[in-house]
Amino acid sequence: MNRRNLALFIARRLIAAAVLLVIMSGAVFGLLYATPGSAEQVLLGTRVANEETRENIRQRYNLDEPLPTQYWLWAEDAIRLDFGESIRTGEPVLVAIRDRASLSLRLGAYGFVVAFVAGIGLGVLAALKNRSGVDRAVVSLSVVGASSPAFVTGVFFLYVFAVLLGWFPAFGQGEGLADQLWHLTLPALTLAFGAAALLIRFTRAGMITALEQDYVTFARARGVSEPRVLFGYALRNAMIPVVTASTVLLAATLTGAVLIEVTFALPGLGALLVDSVAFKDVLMVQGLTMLLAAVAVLTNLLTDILYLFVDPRIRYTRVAP
Amino acid sequence: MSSNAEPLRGVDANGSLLTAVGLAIHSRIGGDQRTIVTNLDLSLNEAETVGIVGESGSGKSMTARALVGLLPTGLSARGEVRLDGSNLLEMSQRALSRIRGSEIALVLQDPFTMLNPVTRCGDQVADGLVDARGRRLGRRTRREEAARRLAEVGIPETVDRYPFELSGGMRQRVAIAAALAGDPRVLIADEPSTALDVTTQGEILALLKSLQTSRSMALLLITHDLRVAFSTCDRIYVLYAGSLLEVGDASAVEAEPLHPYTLGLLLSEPPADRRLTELVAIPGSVPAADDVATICPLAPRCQWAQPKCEVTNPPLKPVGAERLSACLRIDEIRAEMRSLRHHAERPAVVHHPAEASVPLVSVDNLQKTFADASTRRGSAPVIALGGVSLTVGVTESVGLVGESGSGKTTLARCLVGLETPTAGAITIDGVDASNYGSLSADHLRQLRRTVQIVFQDPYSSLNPLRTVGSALKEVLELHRKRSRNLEGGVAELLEQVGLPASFSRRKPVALSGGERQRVAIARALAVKPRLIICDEPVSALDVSVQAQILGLFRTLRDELGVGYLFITHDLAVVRQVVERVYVLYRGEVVESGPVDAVLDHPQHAYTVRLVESVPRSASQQRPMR
Ligand SMILES: Nc1ncnc2c1ncn2[C@@H]1O[C@H](COP(=O)(O)OP(=O)(O)O)[C@@H](O)[C@H]1O
Ligand code: SF4
Ligand SMILES: [Mg+2]
Repeated sequence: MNRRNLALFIARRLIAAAVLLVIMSGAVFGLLYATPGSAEQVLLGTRVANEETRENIRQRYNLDEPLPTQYWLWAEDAIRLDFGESIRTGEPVLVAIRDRASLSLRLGAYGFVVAFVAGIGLGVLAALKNRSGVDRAVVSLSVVGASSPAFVTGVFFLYVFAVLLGWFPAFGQGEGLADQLWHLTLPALTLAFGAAALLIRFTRAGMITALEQDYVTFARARGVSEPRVLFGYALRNAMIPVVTASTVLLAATLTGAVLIEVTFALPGLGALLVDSVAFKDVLMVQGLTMLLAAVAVLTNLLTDILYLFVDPRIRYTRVAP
Repeated sequence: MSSNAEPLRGVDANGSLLTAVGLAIHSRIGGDQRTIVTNLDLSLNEAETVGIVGESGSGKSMTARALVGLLPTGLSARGEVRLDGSNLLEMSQRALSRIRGSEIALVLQDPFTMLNPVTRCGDQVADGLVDARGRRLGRRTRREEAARRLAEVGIPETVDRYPFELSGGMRQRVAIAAALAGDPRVLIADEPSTALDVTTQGEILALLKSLQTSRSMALLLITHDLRVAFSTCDRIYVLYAGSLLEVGDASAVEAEPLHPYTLGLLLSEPPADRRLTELVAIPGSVPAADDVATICPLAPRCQWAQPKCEVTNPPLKPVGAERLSACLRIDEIRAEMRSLRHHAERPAVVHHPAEASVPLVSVDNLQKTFADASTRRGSAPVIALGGVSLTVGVTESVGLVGESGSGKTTLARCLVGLETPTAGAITIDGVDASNYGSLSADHLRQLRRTVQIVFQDPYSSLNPLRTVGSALKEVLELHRKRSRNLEGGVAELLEQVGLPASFSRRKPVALSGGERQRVAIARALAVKPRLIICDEPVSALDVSVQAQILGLFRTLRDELGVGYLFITHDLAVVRQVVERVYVLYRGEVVESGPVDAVLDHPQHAYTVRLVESVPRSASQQRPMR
């Protein structure tokens, strides 16, 4: 593989991602027309329906233009991250999203770190203690985690750790770093629970397979240190399928996050999405879904590139023109 | 170098580096306990090369892994394995891990799976390197040292390469360098050359031997090939169904095997330097250790077996001063064994069929190009055959030798229409067979009746759902329309390949590898072909079974007058079966002629390399050339 091929490969993937985003944007734009009621009615929301406001809305959102032109104008704005104003509050969609994003990001990052550390750690542990009590316990935990919906786990954690034990606050964001972390712990654990369950499963299976491979036996047979065997040889190979699975993981996490914010009354993007849907705030929903779509497409792209780095064989076969 | 003068080491011999006493290996899967190795005593002295020889499944690999404390899960070892006085079987994995690499190291069997696929070769070699205080080296020193170690095995340029970029032989070299990184005093090499091409095999063995000498370390070489052991080892241990049957100096064992199994193995591995009058084979196939636990393991297959052989599993006993044999009757049958060997090793004259016999098959300037399958676009096509011409006369047996990738199988597949040549002509029995797709049904049937093919893998070439009888009957029906007695036809075919008629009711799962290959041959014989193309027909079989099948090929030719196009990488096999040989190298015939002339006086550099790579012991080397 040379640099040029790598650049070509990444360029191809970028173009594919862009095409995907364009298709998705069409679907997102269509939300306006998919919502029951005429577009004008939907955009009007609960405002007083006099001729002037109607005319303003028609102007602002180009409702008199033919559909393709409407989409084009909408897309032009969307590229500039202008999704219009919230029907509910009149606040620009972008501003509303920006205000709420920080909390969601912190929750996501916290949950992600916990999921990764716990998922991979427990997966490795279970593989090392294959068929022991520890293994069975970890596997049972992952079965529970993968099969319980996030809001059930959330309510359960709330009841046990906030209500019964009183270790963590039941809601709110807290002030200052430590307090904020403390407040975010239960939601992050809830979020991590489902993702960790999947990670445990993939890591455990990958590790068990890797530990039986000749390269692990041979590494031990020549005295390579055990930590190096476990991490440099077994885990490194076991992570290849995990990277592949990370897209699935992201989907699970995103849907989980929405429900968790509602459960824990956290005013993040998820809560905003649920409120906006309930209120038929189509413009806000458009902004949020577009954002989610972009995140999903970008993760996919990152997975593909990451894959090149974890598995050199792919780099040579797939990247070659 | 040779330990000729030393007495055989006893249980706690001083001076010996590694000893195993009463080593037993069992596997437990579910509630089932299976014996894999029983009662194995072994000793390895400093700077000595010792071989463990046995057919596949005899327990060699598991013994090797037990010696370094790395049995797969489900397997356990009992007994003693002593290295510097301490019993490795009682050590913790942590303690063992300190000994491995610095005292003892094991190179596994398969170079294609042994290296970490996602790590550069240099890093893998460096992983076994530690400084004087047992810590990992710094980045710079690591790389330099890894390069130096890779240079020691002759491939310094691979430091920054990934294993998948290297050939099997190079990977094996990387593995050896990695195993030697900690400068162990004992190196165990499990079939280090088996997965490689013939010419590479010789190079790897020579490399191991030279490293053993230059580092004066002890080498335990595991092999299924008695000749490899003779050419490389000072002493050898013969393992069969988990029991040791014979121990002795390599040269002494070669001069006179003192166990019928060793003799059988020796005679089953035909020499490459002459054709034998008769191929003697051990009948039957290798049993499971548990099935022969209380008898002499060879008894079911031994021509000298008597009731007393089936009373206990005979232990190794000294025969003369420096030899051990587990044969109860060795003193009585020694003379007979000697005369059997003498009789079998008489060289035979190659009968060439009447010169200028009419060609049955002629191949003219055959070319075959494949679009590279691994990368779909734009890459260079692979030239499998670059203009090959050859002929096979009526009733003639012709060999086609070459290493893997040289185009042998492609040629065979073109001949029977499984592949369509890119250019060139194939004529079979007067019919133009260059393109099977455009042939009339009559011609197609004529070709099928003239040429049949037998493949390497007897496991995949038979339909697992059908009985042997119905598979054979189907072919008989198709090609011998007039024959009414199909049952009789099946029985006759089975008899021709040395199987009882009752086998017609069996399905392939109930057959051993050798039996399956016999059935595949019977199916080819069903159409009474004039030529059978054999693509590596014995290379998937155990050595002792291989000789049976080679013998069968010779018998069939003598009795039915069928000719062969014999494709193989094994010069010894070619020497035993064919009259003329073509040497194929990278899709081109580089040399051809009568088998004696080509193998005794090779002209082309590649043929010379091929001939020189045949393992030869010291005693054999002198009289040759
Ligand atoms: N992981 C395993 N679990 C159970 N049995 C095994 C395992 N590996 C090998 N065996 C059995 O051990 C026996 C000896 O195998 P092996 O030592 O690999 O033979 P060799 O190296 O002489 O060909 C065989 O019967 C094989 O089926
Ligand atoms: S003990 Fe008997 S069966 Fe075993 S090898 Fe000797 S003669 Fe043959
Ligand atoms: Mg083996």
